[in-house]
Amino acid sequence: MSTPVIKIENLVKRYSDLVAIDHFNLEIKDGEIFGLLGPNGSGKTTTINCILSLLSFDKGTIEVFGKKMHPDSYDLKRQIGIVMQNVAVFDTLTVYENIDYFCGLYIKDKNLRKQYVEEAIAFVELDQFRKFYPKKLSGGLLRRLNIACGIAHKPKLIILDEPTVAVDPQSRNKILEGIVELNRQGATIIYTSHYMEEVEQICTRIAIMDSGKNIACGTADELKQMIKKSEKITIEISSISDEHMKNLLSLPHVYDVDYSNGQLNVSCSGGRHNLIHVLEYLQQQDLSFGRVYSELPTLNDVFLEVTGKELRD
Amino acid sequence: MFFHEFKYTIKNILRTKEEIFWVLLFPLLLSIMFHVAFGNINNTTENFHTIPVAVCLEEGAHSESFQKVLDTLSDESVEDTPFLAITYTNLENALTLLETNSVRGIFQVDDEISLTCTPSTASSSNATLAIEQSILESFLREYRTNAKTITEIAMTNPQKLPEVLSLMEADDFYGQKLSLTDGNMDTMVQYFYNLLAMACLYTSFAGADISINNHANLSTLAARKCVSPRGKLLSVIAHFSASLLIQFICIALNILFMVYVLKVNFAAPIPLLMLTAFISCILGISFGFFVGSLGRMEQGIKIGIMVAFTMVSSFLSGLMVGNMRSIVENICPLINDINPAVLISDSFLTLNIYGVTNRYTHNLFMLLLFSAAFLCIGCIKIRRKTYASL
Ligand SMILES: Nc1ncnc2c1ncn2[C@@H]1O[C@H](COP(=O)(O)OP(=O)(O)O)[C@@H](O)[C@H]1O
Ligand SMILES: [Mg+2]
Repeated sequence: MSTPVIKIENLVKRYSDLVAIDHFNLEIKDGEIFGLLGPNGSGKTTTINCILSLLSFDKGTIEVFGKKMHPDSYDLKRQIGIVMQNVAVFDTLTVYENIDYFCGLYIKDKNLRKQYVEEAIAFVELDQFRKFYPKKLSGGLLRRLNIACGIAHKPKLIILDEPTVAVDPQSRNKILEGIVELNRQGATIIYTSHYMEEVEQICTRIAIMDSGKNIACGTADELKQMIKKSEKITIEISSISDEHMKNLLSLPHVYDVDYSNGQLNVSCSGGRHNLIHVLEYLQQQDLSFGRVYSELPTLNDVFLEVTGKELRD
Repeated sequence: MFFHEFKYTIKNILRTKEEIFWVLLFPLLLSIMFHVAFGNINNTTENFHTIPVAVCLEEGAHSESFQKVLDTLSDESVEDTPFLAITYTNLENALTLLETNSVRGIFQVDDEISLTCTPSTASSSNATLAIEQSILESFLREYRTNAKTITEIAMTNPQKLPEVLSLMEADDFYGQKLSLTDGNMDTMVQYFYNLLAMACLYTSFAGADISINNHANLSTLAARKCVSPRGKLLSVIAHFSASLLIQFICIALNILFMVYVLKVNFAAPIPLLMLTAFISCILGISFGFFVGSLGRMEQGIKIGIMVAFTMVSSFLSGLMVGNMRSIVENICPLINDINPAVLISDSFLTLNIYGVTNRYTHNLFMLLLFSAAFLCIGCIKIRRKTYASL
């Protein structure tokens, strides 16, 4: 088995009294698009900054490409591309100059750098904006510039910290497609986000973070199989008695029934024909109902079940 | 790598309007304002006249050198309106001349030099007379304290002597400062020195940027740079050199503007003026680098510290009130010894008047010493590599 790209063991990081990272473990393999999913304040950025040796931490070990990471592990840093949560570009430099500047921190050779910068500009589709100053770019374009600055030097490991915050849907899709493309070209990706849809869409493996802990880790399907719920049935209905609800609960595979705001929610665990059973019951009892839909569990359900909180903001 | 950082720092500074404004345009505008303001004073103030004095020479420790100085100051070939018109005579004659008001004072020279003036009651209604006596007094005072330098200049560089004396000031009737020679221009020059000192201290803004762009906990950009494989020291050195170059060019342009456009009376050779400006810029940038590294606070607070420091320092050196420096000298001379604005403006001043002297080199040495201290503290702080929080 090849050495993991990143290996974090028992990481603890405190900000004075606040424990931001609490015995956190993580292993990321070569070629993955690894998603770090967690609500705001769960410790994603702190973890990234510890990996990068920007932050000191209280306990634990971090290895990058099998070596311990230090502030002057320049050989390791050379292989890492970072797109920070806060846009880090010079307002006084144009799009082209910004990318050239950051690429130049890694690539000495002028011709090679020129080629890389051009490729990065093409990659984020900023060609027509190359002479623009960042102030003149919209939120989405600015994020794309930020990404270009992070990946222009063709790193083996790319870390993107919430690259799609405050980005319009169109730019967001471009960014996500781009990340998948970078991965296809051979880069290992670490992607943090609090949007589960994004993570689910592109990540090969996901760790769910909450309060500095790694509470679940696996592919999206694995995560969903971890939980009891396998199907959620929602039925619009004007009123329903407690008696009926009790009967619904006694149907096979149904483990939770609740009613609020004119919506009946039936949670099922396992079983293949739950929707049919529920509808049959309602028809038998002559209860009239409106729209009906059935959802497979989402990562939000996973999060809800393991933490008792909603993931959505 | 060095050049890469250097090149982009230059682009950054040139495109940061504030930095260019405070170091280039602001002093330029002020110098024009000074020029306009003092230009008017020049026209309205009565020019200074030659003062007639009697001199009684006896053999003594001072006689020869003092005579040399007096001769220079009364030599019409040195200046059109010499400082003094001298009658060499004995004491008796001299007293008669004084009584008839043909001379304003008598210098008696033997081992000591003394000055006798008309008792002020006699014709003190005459303001000019009083001023002239006061000027003679302060001339003598200056000679006593700086006999060696003054004599040396009289011997080697007589043309410079009137300028040297223009520095000495005498209180006139209304408590205002009056220059010894006819140079309102010359008191005005001091405002330009102070102006240059202020401009040099404003280079601290660029200095603060060096810190803010390299301390990972001070800006996202710095954090971003810190995760790259480029060493911090190299980055700081490149940043410092680039800032120094640009800021120095700004100050140099100011000096050239003063010399060639405003025709300010800077006597020193341009290269030496530039050297002084260069070292002053080093001080300004180092100071900013130090302030920038002070820790995590609002950037506005740091800018506030630098502006306040520059303004207080310049105020105490006489940028707003001309005789501030002598007031400070009377209250707490130590402040003048360490006030960077004083050190800078005094470097320009001594350079223009005495040339390269001990006082000049001492000033530059002090400036470099302070720079070194600021740089050391800044560098110690910037060596930090991981942070407890960002
Ligand atoms: N510099 C800091 N000082 C103190 N607390 C911090 C600091 N940065 C982050 N925190 C706290 O640490 C926790 C984790 O923050 P962060 O890593 O930024 O989370 P995320 O990136 O997942 O939103 C939060 O509770 C946050 O308030
Ligand atoms: Mg974050």
